[in-house]
Amino acid sequence: MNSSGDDAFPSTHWSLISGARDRGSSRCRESLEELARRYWRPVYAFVRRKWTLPHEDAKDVTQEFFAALCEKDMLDRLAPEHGKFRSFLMAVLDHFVVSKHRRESRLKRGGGVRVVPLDIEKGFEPAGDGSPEEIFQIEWARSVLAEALRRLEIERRGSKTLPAYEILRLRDVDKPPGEDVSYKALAKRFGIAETQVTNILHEGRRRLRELVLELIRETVASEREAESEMKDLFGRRT
Amino acid sequence: MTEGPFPPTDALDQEGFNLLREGDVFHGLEIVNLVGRGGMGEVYRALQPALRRHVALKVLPARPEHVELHDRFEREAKSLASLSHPNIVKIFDFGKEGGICFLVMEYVEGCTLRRAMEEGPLTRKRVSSIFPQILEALAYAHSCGVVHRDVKPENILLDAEGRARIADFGLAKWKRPGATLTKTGARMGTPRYMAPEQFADSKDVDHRADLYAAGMVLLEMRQGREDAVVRRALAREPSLRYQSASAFKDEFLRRSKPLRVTWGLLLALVLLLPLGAVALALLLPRRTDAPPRFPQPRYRERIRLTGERSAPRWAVTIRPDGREVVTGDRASSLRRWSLPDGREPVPLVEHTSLIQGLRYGRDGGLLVSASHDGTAGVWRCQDGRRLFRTPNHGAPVYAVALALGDEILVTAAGRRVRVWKWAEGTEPLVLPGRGWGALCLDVSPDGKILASGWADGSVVLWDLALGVERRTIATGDQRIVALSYRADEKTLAVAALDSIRFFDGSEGSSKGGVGNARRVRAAVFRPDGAILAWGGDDRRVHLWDVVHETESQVLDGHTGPVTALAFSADGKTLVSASLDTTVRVWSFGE
Repeated sequence: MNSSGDDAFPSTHWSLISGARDRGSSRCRESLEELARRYWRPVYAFVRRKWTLPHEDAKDVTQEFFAALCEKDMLDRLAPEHGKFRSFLMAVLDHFVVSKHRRESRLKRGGGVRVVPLDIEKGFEPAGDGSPEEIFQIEWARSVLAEALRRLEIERRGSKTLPAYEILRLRDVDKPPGEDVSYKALAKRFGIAETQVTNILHEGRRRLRELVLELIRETVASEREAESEMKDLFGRRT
Repeated sequence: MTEGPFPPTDALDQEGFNLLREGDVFHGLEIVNLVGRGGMGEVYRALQPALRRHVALKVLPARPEHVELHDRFEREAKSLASLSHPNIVKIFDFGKEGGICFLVMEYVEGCTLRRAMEEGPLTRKRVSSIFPQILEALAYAHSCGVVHRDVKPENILLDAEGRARIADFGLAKWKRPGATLTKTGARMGTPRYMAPEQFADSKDVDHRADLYAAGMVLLEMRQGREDAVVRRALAREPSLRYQSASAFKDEFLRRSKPLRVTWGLLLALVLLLPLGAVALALLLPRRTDAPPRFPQPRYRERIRLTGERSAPRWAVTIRPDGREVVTGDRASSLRRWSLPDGREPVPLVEHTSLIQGLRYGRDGGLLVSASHDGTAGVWRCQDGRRLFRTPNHGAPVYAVALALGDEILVTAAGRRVRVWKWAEGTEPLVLPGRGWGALCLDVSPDGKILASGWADGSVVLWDLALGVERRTIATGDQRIVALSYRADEKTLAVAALDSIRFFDGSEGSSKGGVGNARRVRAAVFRPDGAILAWGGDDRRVHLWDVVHETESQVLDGHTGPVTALAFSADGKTLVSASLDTTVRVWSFGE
């Protein structure tokens, strides 16, 4: 199992789920870590908004939730034909927090297996005034996009001839404040023609859309559901 | 990095600073113990709790007198971060914290080549296994513009599996040659590995200085036994040495092949005996250098299949008649291409996740597919209709095969191999599993024996007609990534992560293997059994001549790892899939 998917046996959504079901194995831990890396943001944001938890508590709940996914057989009920993974995860998360509340009069900090990546240490303030479900969906979309970008970067990294990912990153993803990222400026910066810049951007955006769709397909039951999920998450933005 | 400290080398070590202690936490790493001192400071073994792995932490105090050293430390750490090769120690992190410059690297459990040589002379086999790895690492580094300049047995680490890794890449070159000469103890002997031109001006040396050093290492590994290979590496004039690490490696491999005694040779010896020793002396060297007796046809790239969508390819198969290719990728559709023109008809969309297994049936009428969505399908090629789909396996299906006249579908998923009478739609026969993963499958040419490869390195052979387990082969390797039966039914090629070996396909005894196979992802016999094609992370397709036990051709072209390979029934066409998003079609003749 290898998070970059660069192995002879690549990591996909379902290889992660199958790995996480393999309780007690090192593969289980690796798979959970990868799932947590991809989806901790919507889980964390949902918990903060719905249960108005402060950062430290939301962080603990998020960590315990991912650990419980493996320990409590939750994933055993999950199969590709059962529908969206997003809906499944939100349902089990809600259930998890409720039963945790019942179990404990107050949230206990720490304990259990910690599998969430370090990014959570700082946490973040869920933006806007949407419902917990809306916040979950927004963060989910963001996580899917982040994973698609990561895969695009891995794919484009191999290209020695053109700085394809770098151009897409500067223009669409991570525009440095105050920097000129016009076609002309990028062409000059990388020593290529302006038409090459637009071609690279066009091709990069097209591939990014495909990667997003591939990721979504893996978490839903059918092509029709994939289309509706794409619309729900990204609307016209894609 | 090693179980013993590096020998003291210079003033830094003599100061003997202990920057960190056991149990200290530094940059989020828990210090386990000091494992060595080298030219650039101290090396600790440390635990990275977030990832539960051990790392090697190299530290150096940030003192004003070390400013020049720090600059080099930083510049070289950054250039190292761009190197990624199985035979080069990986770098994870670099920075400065609390007045200490640090470098976080892969921790290698094992010992240095120096220690291995001190324990006793290396066998010829061990030298043949270790030395090419060193040259591969150097070839790669040189291709990235990096010259090591301090290749020596102390900087070569060997792990338990026998894999060699070059460490301290470029880090020891901060020392001026003059200083090295005056301060180095006789036991360390760095000047011993330095090329003549390096003494004159160490700034101005190129990759050929590394090849000189590698020649010295080889000489030591062979306990001073010199031959033409070593002599050329150690030529005083750089232009007289090997001009590249790969040329050095090729010559080394060619020369270290044992003399193969054949009937022809024996006969020649008998006939020539009366002519005396002179004739023999003339004959023997020629014999070892002789090319294979039957020239192999050379494959050439014919078409590159990319299509409108440029996704990394994870699976490929070719119809036995060589007229159609099917590929699989993350986009979950089966893409079909017709040959020789490379047109792409409508894809078959049915899976919802990556497709990793693809096979044609015997006469090309059926196609089977395996996907990470947990299902496998049987397709009729003529109209693209799906005839059967398995229920969800609860785990990604990594491999599929058809057996017994295509009546039986075999799937490898999770902890099980399942056998389906797909036309009847009955419950599958579930074969007992081993460890967490069944990763690959092949069926013997007569369709009777099923071989399965597992994540624990074992291969299990099943008699499909009788429904009993024939044999389990414990290869002792890491996980098995590919299996291929030879047409003679007697030989099974077993590809593990870093080896390809041949076993008796029914008895399970070992019969040799492919020299120097590394980071393997795919391996398949040509239907006539004369060639085994394999591919992997080195982005090439290698053709191994099984009869003459030599690499007959290397197909260059892919710019990403090769993930899957398949031959047409006549062996004339070979297809290779790669993460570079292309599928290439290679063939020989017109």
